[in-house]
Amino acid sequence: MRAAVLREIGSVAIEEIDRPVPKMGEVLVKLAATGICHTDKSMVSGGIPAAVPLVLGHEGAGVVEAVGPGVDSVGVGDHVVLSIVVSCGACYQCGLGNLSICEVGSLMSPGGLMLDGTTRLTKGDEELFSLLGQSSLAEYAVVSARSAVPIRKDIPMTVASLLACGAGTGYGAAVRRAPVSLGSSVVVVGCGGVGLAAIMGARVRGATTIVAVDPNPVARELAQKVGATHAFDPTKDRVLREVNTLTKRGADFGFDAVGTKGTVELAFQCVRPGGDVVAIGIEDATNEVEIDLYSLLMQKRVTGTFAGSLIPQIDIPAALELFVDGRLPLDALVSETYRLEDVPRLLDPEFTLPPGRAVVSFEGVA
Amino acid sequence: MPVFTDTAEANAYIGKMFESVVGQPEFVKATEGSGLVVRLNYTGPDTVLLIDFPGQSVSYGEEAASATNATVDLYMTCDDAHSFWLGKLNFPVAMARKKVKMEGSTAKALKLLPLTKPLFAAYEKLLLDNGRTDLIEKG
Repeated sequence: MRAAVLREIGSVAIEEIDRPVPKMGEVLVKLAATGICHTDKSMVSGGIPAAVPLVLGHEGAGVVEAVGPGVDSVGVGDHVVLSIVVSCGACYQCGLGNLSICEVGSLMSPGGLMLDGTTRLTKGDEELFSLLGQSSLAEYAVVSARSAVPIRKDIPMTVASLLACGAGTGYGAAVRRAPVSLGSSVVVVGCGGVGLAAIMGARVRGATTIVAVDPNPVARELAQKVGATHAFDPTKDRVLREVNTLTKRGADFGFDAVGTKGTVELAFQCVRPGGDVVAIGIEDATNEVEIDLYSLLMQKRVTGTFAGSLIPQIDIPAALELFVDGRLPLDALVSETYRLEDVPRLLDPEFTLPPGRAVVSFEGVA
Repeated sequence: MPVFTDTAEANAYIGKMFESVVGQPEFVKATEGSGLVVRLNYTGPDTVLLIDFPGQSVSYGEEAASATNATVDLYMTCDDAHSFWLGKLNFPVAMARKKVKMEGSTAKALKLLPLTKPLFAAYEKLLLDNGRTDLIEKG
């Protein structure tokens, strides 16, 4: 099968590798669509360490081709979203319901391994590593059955795939991680796919003031299209002044979907005393955050989320029902569709991804 | 059979490699303002090294073990450390398989990454300069 392989920083190539075989508790999925995430780009650029050689892609959706022993949650022919929440279901964190920070999954996934500590990906005698337990920038992927979420067959795969990572992360940040509620005021810094989904999630939860912050005019326009009530350019507008004017005291919630120097700080400064800030993006894993102690004493809270803290088997089908109902316009995020052959160019550190989400569509499936 | 026969030999190569680079302008510049102080806790043979990049110093043994200014602690065997400093250990995979354990700031630990290639080169050169091709072959 063809797959996008990272062998050294800055260099991605489409290679012919072996089709993986599912083991106990795993499924083989024929990919139909895979979103391109900034995490893929950060791994290619070296901002986030990668286990190389690595098959990229972690925002996939497709059709179950085969199931390994012991799998009864999905069957051949089912349409599935491949969630980046890789959980064992048995550890301390899973017991607490924190599936996205499963003690096994959060150790194995960054190391390019499946839950059992091995890899399914090979090219002849060579072992390749997987990205977040799926490696979906390939024609086929083996994933844990717990990460393969069955969905309705009438949902476009390009839309469904977004909930595997980016849209699921932003949406979950607003509906799972932060208690956004009716009448809340919200600031979202960064309006790529993740930030836009946070805006949608905040809107679904009943937030009535939703401020989008992004220097890109196209991103700000998209933000207003999907639910932002106001949009500002941080390079030109006085964001803090605007937020304070709109909310009188600072926003109830701030989300940082960028993860560069100063963006969590901006979200932190935008929230009122007692407000919550959620970090949902990371451009470079060496980034650190500097906040003032006095604001913490004023009971501001800073937290973060991995994968939107989603419970995939519950939250992903629910989000798609909201999409079908017209209340979660996920399709607005799909800015461009590409072919697998385009991936090396898309992931080139010099290439700027379009606002919203670039999605690779695989031919001949769904 | 471990790569290093004893603590002195591990320190003589891994420690000396750091001693040779911490004062070099490229390392001083790369770590400026990072506050990067790394403690390497190795076993088989057991040794502890403290690399203080801002202070441009390397310390060993009890002095390193009892230091309170380390921002990152790394734990691994000397054999894995030897492979790592030769550029032959897949670090993310080793972390996942618990061959390497870390305490402290992940962000600070990752600031080491851009420095690893010159460190790999410095380590190999040190071994070559000392005629230890046998150790390179064991990496």
